[in-house]
Amino acid sequence: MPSLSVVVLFRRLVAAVCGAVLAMACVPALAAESDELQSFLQEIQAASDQVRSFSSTFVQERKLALFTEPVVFHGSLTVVRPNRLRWEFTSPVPSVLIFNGERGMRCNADAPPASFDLGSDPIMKSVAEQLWLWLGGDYSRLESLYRMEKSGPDSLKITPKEEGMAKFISTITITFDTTNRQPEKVEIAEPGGDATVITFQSYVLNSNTPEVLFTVCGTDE
Amino acid sequence: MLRWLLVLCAVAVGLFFSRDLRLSEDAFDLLPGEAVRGDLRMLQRMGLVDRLYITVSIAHKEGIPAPVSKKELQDSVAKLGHLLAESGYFSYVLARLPQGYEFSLFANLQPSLPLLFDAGDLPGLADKISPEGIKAGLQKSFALLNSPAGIALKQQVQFDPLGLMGQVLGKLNLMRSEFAVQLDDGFFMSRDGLSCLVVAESRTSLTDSAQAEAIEIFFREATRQALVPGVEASVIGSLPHTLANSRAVKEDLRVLLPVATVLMLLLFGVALRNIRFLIVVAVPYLAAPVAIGLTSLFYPKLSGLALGFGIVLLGITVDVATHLYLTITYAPGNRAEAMKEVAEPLFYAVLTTLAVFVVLLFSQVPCHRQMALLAIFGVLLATAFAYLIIPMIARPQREKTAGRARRDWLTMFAPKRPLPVLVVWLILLVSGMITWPRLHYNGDLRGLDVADERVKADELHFSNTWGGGGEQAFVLATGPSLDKVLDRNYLVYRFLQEHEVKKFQSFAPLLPGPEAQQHNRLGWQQFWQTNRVGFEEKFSSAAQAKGFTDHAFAPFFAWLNDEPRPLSPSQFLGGPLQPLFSSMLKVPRENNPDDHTYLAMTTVAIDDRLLPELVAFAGKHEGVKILASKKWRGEVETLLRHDVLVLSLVAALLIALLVVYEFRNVRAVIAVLAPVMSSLAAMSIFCFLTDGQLNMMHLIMGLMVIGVSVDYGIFVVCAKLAGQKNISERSVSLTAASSLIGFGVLAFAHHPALYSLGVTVLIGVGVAWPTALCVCPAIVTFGHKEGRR
Repeated sequence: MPSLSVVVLFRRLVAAVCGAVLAMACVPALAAESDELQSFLQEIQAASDQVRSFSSTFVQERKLALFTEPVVFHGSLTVVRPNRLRWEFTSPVPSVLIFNGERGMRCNADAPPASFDLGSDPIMKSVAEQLWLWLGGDYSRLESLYRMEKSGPDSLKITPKEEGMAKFISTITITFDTTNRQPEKVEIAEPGGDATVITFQSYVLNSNTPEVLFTVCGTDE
Repeated sequence: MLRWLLVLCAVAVGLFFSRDLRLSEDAFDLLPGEAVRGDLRMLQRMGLVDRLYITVSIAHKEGIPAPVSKKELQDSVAKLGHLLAESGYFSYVLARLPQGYEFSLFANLQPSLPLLFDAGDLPGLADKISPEGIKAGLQKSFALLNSPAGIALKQQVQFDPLGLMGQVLGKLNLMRSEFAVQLDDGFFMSRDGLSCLVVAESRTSLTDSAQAEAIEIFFREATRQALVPGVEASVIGSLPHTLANSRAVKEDLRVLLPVATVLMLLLFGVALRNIRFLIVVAVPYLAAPVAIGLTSLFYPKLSGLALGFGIVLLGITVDVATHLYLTITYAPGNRAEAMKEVAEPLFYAVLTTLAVFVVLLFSQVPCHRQMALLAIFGVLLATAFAYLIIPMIARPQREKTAGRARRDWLTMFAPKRPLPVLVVWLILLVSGMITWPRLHYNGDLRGLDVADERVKADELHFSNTWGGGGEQAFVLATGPSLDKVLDRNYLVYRFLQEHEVKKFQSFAPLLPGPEAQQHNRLGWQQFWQTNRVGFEEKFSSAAQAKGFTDHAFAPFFAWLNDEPRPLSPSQFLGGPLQPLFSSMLKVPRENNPDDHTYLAMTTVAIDDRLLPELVAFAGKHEGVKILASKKWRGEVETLLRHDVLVLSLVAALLIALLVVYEFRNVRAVIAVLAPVMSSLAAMSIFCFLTDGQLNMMHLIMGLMVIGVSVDYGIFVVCAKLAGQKNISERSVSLTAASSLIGFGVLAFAHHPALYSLGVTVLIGVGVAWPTALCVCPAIVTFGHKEGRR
């Protein structure tokens, strides 16, 4: 009968060998995952490169601990890459947010339009960065600031690396439309459990977009 | 030999005592009055005198900006700021605010915000907590939380659902200067986005040309390293002015000194053909080391300008040495007789010169006093040296024909008919008297600044880029403790608020003194004691109606319940706005025992209405001082005008008394004073015909002209009364010619100060000389037959 110490030694040896075998088995698995992500990113990028501008409607659902119930906002979005974006809520509280290069404008029913400069307004700068993150189309360049992984067949899960941003956002999951490969749904999870889901619909790609959309809030007048 | 030894020993002793002399290039030594100097020293302590304003811009070529992105421009600025800060040349560099300063500022201020609500803010607060205000505030918060910015602003909304903080944080705008800057990622950028502003404060005085050169060399290298192609930097402040002046002076001297040297050699070589005369000319300057040594006993730190001009003023005594030399050489009789003959005019010439400098000792300008003392020692010593040395080198040459030839040449100037000469002279005097009251004394030292095109272009670029440029006042709150200073600074802020002044820069609303904080705390607490109960009820029902949970705004109510945290300077001096605060608040430096005053600065754009009100306010409040160039230029001008008028009158009176005492003859007295009257009249006419202004250089060199002109009169009149022929005229002609060559050549300088200096001598001596030769004898002989006195 082998002594106890021999048994312990044997078990450790087996564990070490198994560990090494498993680790070796995982390397191709991780590599495959990375390849899949890269290929997915390339696919998204290729689709995005074909789209100079787009517009859509969206529904935003915010689940915050501050609210007794989820709050749903409806709105529309217009994007002209690389740097013009109009985010408009139509109900229940109409408001408009415009980014035009380094400058922008926000409007709501109760106050006159307020212009801002991204250099001097850190909040708006951060908002612009977030919106361009989801909608800019150039996902491959984000690897330095975010950890990215593929989540499901058509989704990209993004986790901020930077501590400052991680205080506000845990993860962002972007699901892409299977045909046009534009963002279909963006889910934002916040550290305290709050969450936001924005669903984009009725995409119109590469249409003629009037410049006035990025210079004036109320375009009906 | 013994005499030479004595003189050389004295020079050696002088050099020994001068070794500890420290030279000061402090421009404040040129300013009159303790009050003005004290005010400006405060500005220097605030760092405003030695501050560089650097505009880093995207270069333009034919009106088109170079292809440089905003990021490249900002990176260049960040790198330049880093290089400047690391160099050790600067005590303070502001190139950008720290990243994320907005968030850390909010976190820093939030617990203390109630202390920033003053009485003027409470009506606005009441509006915010009215039922309509609550409804509007919650609606705004609701929209904000659901906007794309909601994720980042969630906590802020919980702390401040009604936007109370915005009311006081708006006061942050008062931290901005008058410049049209906008913050972009912490950089101070122009509205067109093509320029960034960097501010740096030198550790050493930028009015010192050597230090300015060193900083400029470093700055050039730093910009070469930091700026990407297509980006350029320009500097305004005292640095470019110091450099432009120093270089203009060097360039002028580089051209004019050789010209003066050649002319001087021609004068001595052709007119005298005697190398000994070089020693005669050098005698006054042998006295310089001893005079400097003696002056250093009274002024261990001597103004560089006083030293320079003091030595120049010693040049006056060249006429003593010349007169002595020529008398011994050409006068009849032996050496002892010649020296006896010349003793009396020399004594009075020296006495009148000394009288001018004794009067100058009472000037309110430190530099003038130092210069006067140096000149007094110098004149006395140079006279003594002349008496020791000249008799040894002068050789009687009465029999030489050359002497006769020169005598004949000089007799051409002797007036054959005095009347026309006197008429012309009287016309000159009357014209001088008419123009004198119309002259304006310009005490602004900027008038002596060189008008450098590059400096002007940079200043224009700065004002086009950043605006500003209007008249400003600096309101300094001073005191022995930080608390005291902060309270006084807050009083200034309240005054400006009450007078509805819009354009000012102050940190007082963000950092009130303890008194104001206590006052604001009481106001805040009283406000909530009155309103709290009703408010909570109204707020809760409005929040519920908007869909918020009961505990959604718990942080807000906790903040209302908390005792406000006192604001302390360390919060700011160590916080994200530190660069801005440290430029406006100065604490005593630990390594300087004399520096125990705290200073807080408010910058105000002033007009003719506001300045007197500010001055009156400062008069009523201890420890508040108003510094405005408009105000102190006026004070400087008044003090200097007073100096010029009083000292000139006293000097004139003293000289007149001495001359009257010596000659006791109206005709002789007028004759003696004729050259000085002519030179003053001519200077007055010249200044009137040019820009109608007198400046400091006219004053200083005017003293030299007065000193030598009186001497000319004394020498000529004494000789005339003694029946001596031509020696005095020759002596006067030689010294006048050497003065005109030595100093008059500066009338062709480009630098305004050198030009003023040169033109004063050129006009003054240029007119005193012919007056001495023509008018003095004419006055003495007018109405007498030839041969009578």
